[in-house]
Amino acid sequence: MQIALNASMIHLGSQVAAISELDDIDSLVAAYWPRVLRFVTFSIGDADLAQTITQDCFLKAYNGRASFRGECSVNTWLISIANNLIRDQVRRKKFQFWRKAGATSLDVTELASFLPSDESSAETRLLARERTEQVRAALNTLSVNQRRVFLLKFFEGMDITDIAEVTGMNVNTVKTHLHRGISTIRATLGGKL
Amino acid sequence: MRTAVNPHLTDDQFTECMLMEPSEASRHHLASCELCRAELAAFGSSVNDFGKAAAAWSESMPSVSIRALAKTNARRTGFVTAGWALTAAVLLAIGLPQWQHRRAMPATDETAEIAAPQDSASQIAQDDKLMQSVYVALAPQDPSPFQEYQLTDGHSPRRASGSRTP
Repeated sequence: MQIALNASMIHLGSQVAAISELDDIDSLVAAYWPRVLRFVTFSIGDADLAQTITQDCFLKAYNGRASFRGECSVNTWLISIANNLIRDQVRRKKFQFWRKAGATSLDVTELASFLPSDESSAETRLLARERTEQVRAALNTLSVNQRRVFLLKFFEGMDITDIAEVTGMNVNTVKTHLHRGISTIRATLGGKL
Repeated sequence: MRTAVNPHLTDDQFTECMLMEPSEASRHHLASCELCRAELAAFGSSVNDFGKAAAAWSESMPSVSIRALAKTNARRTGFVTAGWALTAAVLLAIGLPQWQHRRAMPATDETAEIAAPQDSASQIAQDDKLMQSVYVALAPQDPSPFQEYQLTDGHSPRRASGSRTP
């Protein structure tokens, strides 16, 4: 009884902390904007659209902060909102979306230049840059769903159950998408070394 | 799993190693295969580097002021609400006098017909009595055409009997 009470008090405490975190929109944006923008941008491959979706995501989160129950982290909650917005965007304007995505696709050809220069040698840095570009190129060949699942796994570090919950897919579908994503990137990186 | 056809990790095994704990067979193979160990490490570091580069890129992008955006949206919502309120007020201003005018108009024939069946039995009896008294009052002043022109009815028994007697 006491344990249950303590657990509920801890849960309530974390919920109150999360809600107060959500109340300060400026701090929320400062803390989570880059992560959400990264996820959205590399999911849809369109930097302009990603900016709009990320804005909408934070607006929705701020306006709906009262509905946050504290059952997951704020980051997971924001990513799930962003995920729903991406899904809606793809469903609503599929044709326009792909046309736009083709026209103004993400111009981060120098993405590798953002790599932290803490590598030991020039040769290692060059190899890392080359492989970063290869991963990006391989990701672009995946479907939006495969990309979303891959990024949730390897960017956000979610496990398969959490990914299934956030995306609304079943666990087997998530596994299939991950298998496809990993196999494609493995093949792009050269398969067997 | 080492086989004669594929001496290295298959895609399924590779995926399994990336997502969860490798199986006993995969672990056994990795223990003895330098190439597969290197491939797994290269995959992990490549994806990790890509994630770092993407994070650095997204941090370099300017964020927008959501507070300002929320205020703009609230103002826009306010304008939309005010617009609907104004439209409703205009419709009310036009519609209310029309409705009052229609309500104040005298009853038409149509409404009288509809209202008639709702008269009480006593009212109907009174109306019948009135109609009867009118009829009685008018009846003597309305002589029969036979009397007025002193004609006799051809089918009367007196005329019929007179014509047959010589």
